[in-house]
Amino acid sequence: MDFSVQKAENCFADAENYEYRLSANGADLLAAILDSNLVATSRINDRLRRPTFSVKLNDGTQIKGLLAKDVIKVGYPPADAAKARADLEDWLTNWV
Amino acid sequence: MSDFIYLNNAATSWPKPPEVARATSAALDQLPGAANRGGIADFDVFAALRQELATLLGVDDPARIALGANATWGLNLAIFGCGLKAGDKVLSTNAEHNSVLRPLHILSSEHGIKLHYLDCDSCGRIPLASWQQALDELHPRLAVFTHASNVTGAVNDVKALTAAAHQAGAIVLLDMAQSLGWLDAIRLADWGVDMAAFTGHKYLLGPQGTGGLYLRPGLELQPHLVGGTGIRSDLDTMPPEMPLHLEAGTGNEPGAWGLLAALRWATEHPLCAQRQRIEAELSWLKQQLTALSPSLHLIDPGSPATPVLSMTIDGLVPDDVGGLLLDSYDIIVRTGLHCAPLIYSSLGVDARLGTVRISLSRFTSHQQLLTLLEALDDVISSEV
Repeated sequence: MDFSVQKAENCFADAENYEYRLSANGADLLAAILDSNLVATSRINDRLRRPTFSVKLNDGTQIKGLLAKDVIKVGYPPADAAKARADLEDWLTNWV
Repeated sequence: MSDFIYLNNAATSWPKPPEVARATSAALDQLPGAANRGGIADFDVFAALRQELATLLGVDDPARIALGANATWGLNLAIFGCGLKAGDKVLSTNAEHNSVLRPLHILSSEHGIKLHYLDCDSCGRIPLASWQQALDELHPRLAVFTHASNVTGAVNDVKALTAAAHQAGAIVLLDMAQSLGWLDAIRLADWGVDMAAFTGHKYLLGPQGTGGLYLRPGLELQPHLVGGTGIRSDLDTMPPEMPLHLEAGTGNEPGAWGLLAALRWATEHPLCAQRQRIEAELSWLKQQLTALSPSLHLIDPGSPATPVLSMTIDGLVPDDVGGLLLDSYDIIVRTGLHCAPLIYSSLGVDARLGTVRISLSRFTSHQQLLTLLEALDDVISSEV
């Protein structure tokens, strides 16, 4: 699938946070990634005005977003951010 | 007008009075000013702005106000320009913003200046007794402190802190980024403040890219930035008289028009009644937040304070709280360290996380705060 990515800075120099705009919404992504063998834990919070989801992958990568929106926030583990990022972006690229 | 609920006024105030955008825009459509060469028929917006600011700051001579990009510009000008030499001591506090900490770090690491950071109290306020003690021990050449903490809103006693610093032989630099435009009865001359940096884009309600530095009569700075002044171009150095001495390069004329419009609007719409309303709203909000959940911890600065409230929530990362408020509720707050990375040990807050900070303005409504409360209730009850 197509996506665009941009680094999302915060107050901390070692943060490895990125925002992705997908050609699908968060609910579609969640369904697909739950079908993979990447996920350690996942959660949907439908008690907020706009329901959210969060996923923690086995390598420590955290994905968060709104179920109904096409933008996700991804935090990679600082210790191995480059590999974790490459792995997720490979998966996204190959996700149909 | 946006549907967002904007509670980040300690960073940049919003909305602005409509006159600000009109004046800024009009300035871009009209002929530029005469770059310090104005004749008798010329309206010098910078001079008019300086005059308004002098009244607001409680100083007599508008020419002692150099105009620049923001408070950071003014603080750098003062810190780098006041002639500190290797071995000189500087007293500051752990409540300061990076616009103070980073210039001081350069002076320390590259020029041998000795720094001492005094711990603020658990509300973010500078304790006078500790300040006095540090001054007595150090006899610093320069004392730098913030008028109001940008993390907690705690307002410091400028008059007393300045008097103590003077008694120890220090000159005083005051960071007014958070105070000018919100606090009344500012009297820099009466308080004896030597230098004070301010910004236009926070509680003065002006555009970003405006601010400056007040320098008391008799005190001279070495310009940190030098360049063209439009006049006396045949000199090798900056003209000696203020404010030209500290104002290199073409000024932000549209910004000056915008800030002037904001100040005139504020004169026509005095803050006093709105300040009382907002202080009452903040008081109410603190009660509501305290009752909301035992996992929510407020940093209550007491009084006096600017309309800022920082909090932490057990089990939640401030950045995540801010993200949920924005994404799910269109509420804009600030999270993290707020560019004041040293204060957290005094506040009992994890410096790897920081706080969730809300900051109100005179335009904040009760309904907006109700929505914030509902949103925080949802977030805490479903995420903690």
